[in-house]
Amino acid sequence: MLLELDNLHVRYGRTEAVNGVSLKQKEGEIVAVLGANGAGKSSLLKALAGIVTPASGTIRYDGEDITKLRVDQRIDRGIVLVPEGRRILISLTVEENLQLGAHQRADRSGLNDEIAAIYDQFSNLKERRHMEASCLSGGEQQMLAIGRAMLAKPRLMMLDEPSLGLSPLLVQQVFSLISELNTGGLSILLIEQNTSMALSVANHALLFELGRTVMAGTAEELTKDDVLRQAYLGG
Amino acid sequence: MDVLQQLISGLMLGSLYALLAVAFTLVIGVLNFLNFSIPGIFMMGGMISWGLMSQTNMVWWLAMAIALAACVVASLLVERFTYRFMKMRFGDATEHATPLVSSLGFLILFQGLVLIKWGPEMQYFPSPWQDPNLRIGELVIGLPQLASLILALVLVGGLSLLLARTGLGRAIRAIAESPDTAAMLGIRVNRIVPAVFIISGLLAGLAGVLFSLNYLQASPRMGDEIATLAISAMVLGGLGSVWGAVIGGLFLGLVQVMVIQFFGAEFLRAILWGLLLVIIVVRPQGVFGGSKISKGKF
Repeated sequence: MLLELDNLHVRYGRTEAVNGVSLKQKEGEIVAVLGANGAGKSSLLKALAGIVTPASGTIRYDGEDITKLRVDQRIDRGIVLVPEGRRILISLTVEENLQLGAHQRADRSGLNDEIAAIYDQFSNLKERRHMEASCLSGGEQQMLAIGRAMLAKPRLMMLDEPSLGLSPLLVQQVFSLISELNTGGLSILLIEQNTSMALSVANHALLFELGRTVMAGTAEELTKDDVLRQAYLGG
Repeated sequence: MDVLQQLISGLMLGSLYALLAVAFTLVIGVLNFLNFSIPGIFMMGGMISWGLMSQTNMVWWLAMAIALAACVVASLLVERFTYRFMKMRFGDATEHATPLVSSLGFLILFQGLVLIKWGPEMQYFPSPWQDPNLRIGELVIGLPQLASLILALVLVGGLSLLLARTGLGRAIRAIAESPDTAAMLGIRVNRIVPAVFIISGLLAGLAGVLFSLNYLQASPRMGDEIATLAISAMVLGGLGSVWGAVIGGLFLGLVQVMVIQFFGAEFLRAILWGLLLVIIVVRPQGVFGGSKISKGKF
């Protein structure tokens, strides 16, 4: 198992955001966590990235207990977050944002080639590489956020609502990029409100309600499920 | 010739304001924190080097190096018990006035300690040079003044290169824009913020040493007036702008000598502060600030 969560709880004061979640993810898989706003999906991801400390439960990654590791230590191990709302630093240039993804990498050899490879893939970023990132559109910012995460050399990439605020065409592009990265061997944990898109790329999926897993299975099983279809896929 | 001479003196005086203004603007730019302990650190730069030289006969460069080290330690103490304390207690220190007030407490503490140790008198600061003046034709340039100007420009140049080109600078700017995002990206904010205080403390302490060298004096209250000018220089340049602070500082130095030259010293405060008032009313974001009134970012 690449990732194993056991009975994870995340609390903010008295509010229970994640209420005893267990999850297993194999290397090379895409796992989607589905659910409405406020279901606790983002809190789960923040706990996995090390941004919030779980109240109880354990996170094991590649056999190691990482529950108490800092954000940077998890990034070192290849657990990299593409945060909700993309979190681009708009006062920095596009290239500086990319470099921030690799800011703590010990092995910096080949970094320039990797940046060049990202520019080859996203020519819009290349054209604006020395401009402030505030000049990018929402879609370009999402590509930048994913590129930034790539430069951290991830093994498990976690994406928090990558389709948020994007046009349908751009959503298609982001999801085909996710599939492409996965084909290249990257494991992906995906949080999405766009249930049908998420299920179209995922191997496994979980449905979250009020911090609990209410449904789990393969993507095909969930796609065929009547309850899920009615509530989240529009009939 | 006289005007040229005054121009040079003004620039050199201004370089002291500039160093101190950069010390202020760096902490404001990154943390949105007006650190009132900086005048105290400036004062300790002068007083501790004076104390070591005059009371232990220490050689000047060693005394100054030790004084600067003390300033850095003092600045780190301020970071630990103002900014970091608030951050640990409340998760955020940038939206509160509390660190500002506690830094004012540190100013009083630093001044108090120096008062207890050396008393309130103004002390004569021994010059390391036999003849501190360089003569080019009729122009007289003080070596300490020249050292201030060159050091100010070199250090600020180095600082802006550090901010613009290095990984540390990138991390500092990321924290300046959003500490939360920086933390999400794995930047260890608690490791980087002390670096900002080290640089700021070093600049303030150095300005204090250079001030004492220039005026051959040191006193527990030497930081009070110059700090108000440095803060004005920073506001003139636009909060958080390093080069803005430098230009603001040089400008104030020039205005100061020119006012004394053409109107007399008795008009200095009225004209200087009147001018600042007008500039702030006309351009509240500072001469080099962006279009909006800055909260204090680079």
